Amino acid sequence: MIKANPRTGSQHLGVLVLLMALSVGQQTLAEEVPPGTVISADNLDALQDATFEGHRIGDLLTESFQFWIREHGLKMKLKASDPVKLDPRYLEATEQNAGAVTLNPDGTVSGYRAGIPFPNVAVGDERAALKLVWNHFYANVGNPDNIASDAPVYVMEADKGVIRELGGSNYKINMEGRYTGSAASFGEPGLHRKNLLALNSPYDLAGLGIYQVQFNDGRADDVYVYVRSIRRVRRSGGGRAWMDSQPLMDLLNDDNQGLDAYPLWYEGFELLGERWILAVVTAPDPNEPHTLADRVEQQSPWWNPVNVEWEPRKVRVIRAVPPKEHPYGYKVLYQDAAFPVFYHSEIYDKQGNFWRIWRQNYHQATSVDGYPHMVLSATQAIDFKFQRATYIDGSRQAFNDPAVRPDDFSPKLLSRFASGQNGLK
Amino acid sequence: MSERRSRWVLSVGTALLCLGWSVARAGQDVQIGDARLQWSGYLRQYLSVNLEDQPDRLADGSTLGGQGELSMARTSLLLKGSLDFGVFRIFSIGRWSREAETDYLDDLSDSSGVDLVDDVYDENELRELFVEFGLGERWNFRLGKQQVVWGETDFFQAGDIIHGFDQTWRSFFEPENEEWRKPLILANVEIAIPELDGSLQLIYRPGWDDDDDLGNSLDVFGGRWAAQGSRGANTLALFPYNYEHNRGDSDDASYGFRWSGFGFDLAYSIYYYHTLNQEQVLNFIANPYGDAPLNGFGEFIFPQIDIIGGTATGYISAIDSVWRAEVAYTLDKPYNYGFAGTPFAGTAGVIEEDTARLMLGLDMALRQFGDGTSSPWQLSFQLFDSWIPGFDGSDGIIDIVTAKKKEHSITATVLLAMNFKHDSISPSIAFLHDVSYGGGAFVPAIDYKPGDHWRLRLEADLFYKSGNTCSTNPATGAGLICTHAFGTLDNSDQLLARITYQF
Repeated sequence: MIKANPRTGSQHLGVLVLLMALSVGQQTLAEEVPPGTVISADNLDALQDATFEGHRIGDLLTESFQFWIREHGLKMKLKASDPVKLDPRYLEATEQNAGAVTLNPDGTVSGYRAGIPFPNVAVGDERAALKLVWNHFYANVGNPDNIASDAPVYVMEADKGVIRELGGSNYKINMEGRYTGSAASFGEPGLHRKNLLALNSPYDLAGLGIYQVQFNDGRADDVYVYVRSIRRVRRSGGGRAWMDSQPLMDLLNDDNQGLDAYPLWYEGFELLGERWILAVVTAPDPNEPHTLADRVEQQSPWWNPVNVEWEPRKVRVIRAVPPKEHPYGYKVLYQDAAFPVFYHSEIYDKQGNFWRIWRQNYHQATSVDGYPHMVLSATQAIDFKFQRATYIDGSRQAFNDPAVRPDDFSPKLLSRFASGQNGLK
Repeated sequence: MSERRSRWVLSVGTALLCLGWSVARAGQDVQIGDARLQWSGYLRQYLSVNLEDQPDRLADGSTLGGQGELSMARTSLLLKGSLDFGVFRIFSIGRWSREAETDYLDDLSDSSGVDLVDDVYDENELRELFVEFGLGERWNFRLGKQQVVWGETDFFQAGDIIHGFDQTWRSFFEPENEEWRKPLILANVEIAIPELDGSLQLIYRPGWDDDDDLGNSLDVFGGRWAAQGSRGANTLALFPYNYEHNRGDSDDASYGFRWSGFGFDLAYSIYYYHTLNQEQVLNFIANPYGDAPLNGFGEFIFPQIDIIGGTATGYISAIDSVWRAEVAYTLDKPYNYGFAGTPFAGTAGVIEEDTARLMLGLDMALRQFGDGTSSPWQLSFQLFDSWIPGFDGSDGIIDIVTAKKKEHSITATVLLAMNFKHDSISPSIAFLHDVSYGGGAFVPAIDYKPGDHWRLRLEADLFYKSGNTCSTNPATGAGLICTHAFGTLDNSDQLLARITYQF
C-alpha cells in the first residue's frame, strides 16, 4: 500500500524535480516497453498508457488485477508472447470433427465426438458464450485425456502467512472426447469424466475430498466422500456438490479449471467481448524440485506469484450467472480466444461486490506418451473479502499416460488417500 | 506424587519425546532408495469430568458419588507409518495410551479389585500391521492385522461385523470408530470385476488373534462405563470370559465375502460372514449352552454365528439427499432368557433366534446455511431396528442386562454437523432416542481446528430416561425390570475435552 508521508518544505523542490522527471519518463513509457519490464504498484500509473507488443498496458490489466497490484503488491514481469504448442492429436480431432456438432435450441449439444466442438465461434454469434462454455466443458486444454497432479496445498492469510499445508491430488480421466487412443469414448453413453479431488494429509483430513463421476446429459454427478469418523466411503448428494467449497480452501468444486459444472446448471452465460490480458503460459515445470518460496513471494500478503512471466493473450470474456443457491453472484471468466482454457476468473458475491480471483499458471509440457501440450502448473484462489488465499502448487504431474485406465478410478481411491497415500495404484 | 502418577508423567514424557522426534524429522514423506516412507500420527489428551453423583455402592459400603471429579485423564500417542516399495507396501499403526489414576478411578479400583489403570486402560498396542500388494490388473491382497469396514450404519453394528469394538475406555462416544474397533489378523483379497461394475472381497481370519480381540469389550469390571448398579463391581470375577468354548472358539476361523457394485443408479453390496457373535452371552451352569462353564458356575462366551446382509444407497434429486439402507440377518443369534427383572436375569439359558438388523438413513447437505467459505452443513437421520421375526414374548429374552426384550428394538438418531470460518469451527449435535424402550442421549460438541496441528474438541454426553426405561437403584435393586440401554447410563452425564497435536 502506498502511503502519503509528511514532507519538509525543502523537500518540495525535490518532489517537483521528480515529477518533471517522471513527466519526461512517461513520454518515453507511453511507447513500447521491453520484455522484462515489471509492472508494480510503484509504476502502474506511469505505465498505464505505455504499450507492450502494441497493447496499452492499462488495457491488458483488468480492474481486479489493477486492484491486486495497487492494494496487494502483485508484480508482473512481462514476457514476449510465444505461440502455445498443443497436442497435434487434439488439433487433428478438432479438424476432423469440425462442423459435426450442433447447439440445440434447448442449449444441449449433439453430434460431439472429439476435439473442440465449436472451433470457430464468432464474437457476434448470439449464442457465442454458451458455445465457448461447451468448448471448455468438452475440450478444455487443461483437461487432457488423463492427468494426475499431486500438489501441496497452501492456505495463507494476508497478515499471518501460511496457516495450513495440505497434501492434495487431482486425478482425472475423460470418458469421452478422447484423442489419444483408438476409442473416443469409454463406458456407457453419457459419461463425461471421472474426477478425484482429495487430500492425504494432515492426519485428520486424509481422505477428505470428493470422487465424482460427471455426465454430459445434465444428470447429477455421482459423488462419493470419505467419512473419516466411520472409516467409510459414502455416497453424497451430487446435485449440488459442485457448489461446495473444496475442503478448507478458497475455491469451490466448480472453480476447478475455472468452471467445472455441467453448463446448463448455470442460469446463463453472456459474452462480454474480446480483449487482451496478461497470462502465464510458461510457468516452471511443476515436476522440478522447488519450494513454496520459489513460487510465491514470502512476505505479506503471502500469495503473490514469483518466478513467472506474464505475456499478452487474446481472450473472450464470459459472464457466468449461477443458480441462486450457489454462493457466488456471478463470475467473469477469461478464455483464450484460440482454444478453450480459462486463465482467470473474477468472482462476485450476491451483492455484486468483488470477492475472489481464481487463476492458473500454465506451462508447456510433454505428455507421458511424448506429445507437447499446455497444462496447468499451479492454481491459486485469492479471497479479497476474507484476506486469505489458496495456492495449489503442482509438484508431481503426469498426463496422457497410456497406462491409465477408467477402471483405475473408483470411490475406493478415497480410502487410499485416507490411509495417507496418493496415486492411482 | 504417587508412584503411579510418576509413571504416568514418565509415559507422557516419553510420548512427548517420540512426538518431538517425529516433528523434528523434516517432512513426513521421504524417499529411501526405491521405497517411500510416510508417517503421521498424533499426541492426544483426554479429560472427562463427571457431571453427576453416582449412587452405586462400593465394596466398603460407601456411595460412589464422583460429581465434578475426573473420570478420565488419558494420554494417547498414535504413530502411523507406511513403507511403499512400489510393488508392495507395509503399513502399520501403533497406539500407546496411559491414564492417570484419578481419585474417582481409585475408588472404583479399590471397590472392584481390578487395577483399572494398569490392567484395563493403559495400552501398548500394535493396532495394524499389514502388507498390501496387487497381482495383475484385478487382484489386491492385504495380509495382516487390519480393519475392514462393511455396512452403512452409523452408531450401531449391522454390517460392520468383522470386528468387535472396545467400549471399555470411552463407551461408544469416541467420534472416530476406527479408534475403538478391534483390528484382527486377516487375509483380505479384493478382486475387481469391472465387467459387472463391481468387486468381490474375500475375508479369511485364520484365528491367530489374541482372545480378547474378538467380540465387543464391555465394561463388566466395574469401571467408569459400567452399568449403573455395577460401577465398582467386577462381574468378571463371577463370570469370566471363555474364548475357547465349543460354541465359539476364538482360534476357529472366520470367513466370508462381500460383493459391492453399482447398478440402476444404486451403490449396493451383499455379504455373508461366519464369525463369533459380537455380543457376549452368559453360559450358566443351570442350563449350559454347549459345554458347561469352565468354573462350574457361569461364564461369558461368544458363540459362532452366520450373517447374511446387504446395503444400498441412492440419490434423491428432489431433495438433493442420499438415502441408505441395510439389512443384516443373523441366523440363530443367541440370547439369554429367563428371570427378567431379577439379579438372575438370563440364567435360564440361551435361546437362538433369527435376528434382522435393519437400518434406514437419510443424509442431507444444508447448503442454505453456507456462505461459500466452508463445507455445507450435514443433517443425518437414521432408524435402526433389531428385529426378532420369530419373537415370542413368553420366551423372556433379556435385553442388555436384566429387562425383557421386545420384538423390535428401534433407535432413532439425528446428527447435525455445522461448519464455520473455513471449516475451522465445527459444532455438532447428536441426538439418540430409544423408540422401543425410551431414554436417549444428547451429545452437543464443538471442534476447533485452527491449523494443521492442533485440534480441540469439547463435548457433553447427556443422558435421559423416558417411557419404559428406568435405571437400577443400587441400594434397593429396584428397576431391574425396566433397565434398558440408556437406563444403564443413568447418572453418567459428563463433559469431555480432547486436545490433539497431530503431525
